[in-house]
Amino acid sequence: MDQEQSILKQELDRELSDLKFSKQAEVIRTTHPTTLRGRLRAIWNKELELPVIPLGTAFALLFTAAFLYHGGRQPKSHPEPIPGGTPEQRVLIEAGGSIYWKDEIERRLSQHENPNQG
Amino acid sequence: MKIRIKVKHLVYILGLLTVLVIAFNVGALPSHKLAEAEQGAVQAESKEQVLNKIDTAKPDNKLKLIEEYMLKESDTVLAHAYEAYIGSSGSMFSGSMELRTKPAFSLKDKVPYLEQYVKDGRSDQNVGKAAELLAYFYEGSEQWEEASQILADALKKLHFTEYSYARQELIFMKAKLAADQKKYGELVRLCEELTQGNKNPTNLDLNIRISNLLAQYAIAEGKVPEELKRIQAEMKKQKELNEGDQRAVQLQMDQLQMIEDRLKKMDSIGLEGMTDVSGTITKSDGEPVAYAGVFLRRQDDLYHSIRENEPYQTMTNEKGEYSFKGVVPGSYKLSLGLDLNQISGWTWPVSGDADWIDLRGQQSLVQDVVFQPLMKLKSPVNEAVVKGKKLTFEWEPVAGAAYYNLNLGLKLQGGSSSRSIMQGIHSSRIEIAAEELYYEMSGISSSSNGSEEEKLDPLSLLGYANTDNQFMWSVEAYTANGELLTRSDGYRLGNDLTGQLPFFYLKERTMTDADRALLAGHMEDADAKYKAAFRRNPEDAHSLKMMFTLLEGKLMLMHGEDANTEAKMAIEEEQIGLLNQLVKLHPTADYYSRLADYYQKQENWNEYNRYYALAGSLSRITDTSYTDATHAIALMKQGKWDGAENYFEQSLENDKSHRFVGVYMALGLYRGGSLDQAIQAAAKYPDRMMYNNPVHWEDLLLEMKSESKDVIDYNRMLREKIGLYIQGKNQELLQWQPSAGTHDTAMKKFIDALLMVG
Repeated sequence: MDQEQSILKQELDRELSDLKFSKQAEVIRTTHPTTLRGRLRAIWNKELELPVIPLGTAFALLFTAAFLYHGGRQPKSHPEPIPGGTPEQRVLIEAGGSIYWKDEIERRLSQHENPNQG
Repeated sequence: MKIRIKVKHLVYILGLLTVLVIAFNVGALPSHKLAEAEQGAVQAESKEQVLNKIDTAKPDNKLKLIEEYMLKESDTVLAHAYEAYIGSSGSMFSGSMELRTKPAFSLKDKVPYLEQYVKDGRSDQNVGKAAELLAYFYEGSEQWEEASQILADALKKLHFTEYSYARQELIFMKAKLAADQKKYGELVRLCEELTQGNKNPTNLDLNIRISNLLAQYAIAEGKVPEELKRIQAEMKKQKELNEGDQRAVQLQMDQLQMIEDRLKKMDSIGLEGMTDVSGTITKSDGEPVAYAGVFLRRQDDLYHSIRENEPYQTMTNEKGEYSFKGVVPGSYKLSLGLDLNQISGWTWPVSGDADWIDLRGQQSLVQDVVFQPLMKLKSPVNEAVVKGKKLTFEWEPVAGAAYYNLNLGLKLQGGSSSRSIMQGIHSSRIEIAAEELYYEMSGISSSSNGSEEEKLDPLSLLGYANTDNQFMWSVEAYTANGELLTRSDGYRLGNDLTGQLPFFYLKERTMTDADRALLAGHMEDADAKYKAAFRRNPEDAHSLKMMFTLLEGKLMLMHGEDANTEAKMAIEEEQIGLLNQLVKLHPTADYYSRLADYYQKQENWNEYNRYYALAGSLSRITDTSYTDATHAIALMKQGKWDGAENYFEQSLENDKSHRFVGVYMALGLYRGGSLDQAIQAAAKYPDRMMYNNPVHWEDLLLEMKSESKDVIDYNRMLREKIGLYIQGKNQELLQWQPSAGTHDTAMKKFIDALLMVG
């Protein structure tokens, strides 16, 4: 058995005799860095193992919060007319003998059901 | 579950996220800013804040702030300084209103600041503006000294050549104040100064305004002939200088001509007295309408919008008082310039033909204006759909109202139309059968797009029988003696005024195929379908009415052609045939009047008298002034003189336009009345029918009187011509030409004017 192993060893040695491992120093530098650059590089390429569920939940919460905060600060697309104030430029129109603010009468009439569909 | 990740990859991902977040925020920034700006605009500075800001500012900045907050948006030209102009001949407003970010100061609030501005301001036209506004303020409180002092101060500041326009305005204001105080020496001096300075280039508008002021002086001082000469010289000069804009020059010439005519009239009638017109403008709750524009407008000016060169323009003071000193005799009407918040929710109850101010040399005249709150409507409102057989119109009663008039309108392709459908309603609620509205004869309208053929508006043809169209209504309240108290239509700006909008739909009936074809614009098809429907069912009044209305439309499209073509006559005959059938199925006052008109033209007096009586028995209109006059003409043509005169008098009392006064006078003359009697009638009932070309019967008759002096058979000749008019021999009268040198040119003018009446 030992003899057989020794034969295999000899065979392997013979087959690997062309290959020479010459980067011992480099490997040592990588696994046991001594310079600053080497240490930083080690940290840069360090592999982390992160738990998906707690981290994902945290991110989801963060995004929702940010979105809500943002949405709250956005102006509404149709600002309500401010009572007593004069929002933007207003146009007067004549309808049925009376004169109205155009935006106001349009808002009023759209509140009532469209009878054409009735 | 875990993931394995290298630190560097984690850093890359975080970096990317950061970049995204920043980019998003930068992009969103403008909208943020917008939102903040909007909030800023809404919270406009309050009056106190602004005044405080001005009070505490450094002297240099102070003037800038006054300019910014109190002068920039104000206008000293009253004819376009206000947001809305209201008169009995109509209401005008500018289409859109700028966002108002600055607080509105009343003139009184501004006074101390404007004074400081005039005192410390630079040589600048804003100084002129401030001084003019102050002059209006002092004029309103009759502080003449202060007014002329502030104008003098401002004049000192303004450089002679650089600000010649602003200077002219200030000097003119001084002249106006002098005329108001009847300081005619000063007025003449100032006018001379203005005329001297008004060269290269000449401001024609200013010339007119000067002439208007001088006319006032000429009448007061009895110097009409001199002033006439001056104006004639002025007109000659303008004609010679006839360069530039021809139309503008023509307009100025017309104005000068008007002043000359007025002076000539004063001179010939000997009316020398001028009148002081004054009054107060308030709301019915007692609140004065302060710093409003007041315009006393001549009859000849009423057909156009207010011009800068009209002679009588002023501003109310804090108490709403106004006054015009030394107004030249004539017919006038008041117009007001207002800010929207002064009129919104209120109405000035004036109606077209009423409220004339006739100045005939009396010392003074008081014309107050009281705004009334707009009426509140109850039903049908807010696009309600009425499906029942009856419509109930209801509104809130008005204190002191004796009766109400109801108007109904419908939407048209280009706008809307409205007419009075029931008058003299004694309660604040009235029921009308839907069916009655279907047979209303509403006006037919047509339109054409550029070169396209003129087309009838189907909405106007189908009227209230259209279940798809939107209808609208309004109501007016009157006192027992027929004075307008208030109305429901007016400026309704603001939430509290738009709760009950007077729009509704009427869906009681079902539209027929023919109606649908009509609405689709297929007139021929619709006509055929209506005819077929009526053949199938001889009781189908709707189809019959529509056949009549389509003929009416056909007639309307023929308006360009000769009035008496055979085609037209044939259509009219056909219409009368249809009407005769229609009144059997569904008689209305309008149909009967239409038949009466037709037989009046035919001089078929039996039929006329019958239909006239039938129309009267069905009418829901209480103002019969027009039909009374047309009936008077019919009676006159039948030779029933007394009856005709009675009806004319009744009509003239109620019809404020006095449009038939000419025929009434002609009848009087024909029956042997004197020219003096006719002159009295003309003075009592001035003709207000045509705004842009009014017939001055009184002047005409005075002219006739003077030409009749040396002619023995003048009255006989006049009677003969009026006789031809009564017999309807219009062609003969039109062809009659007075031979040159004879004494009947005024008579010819009178007869021509008579033919225009009807």
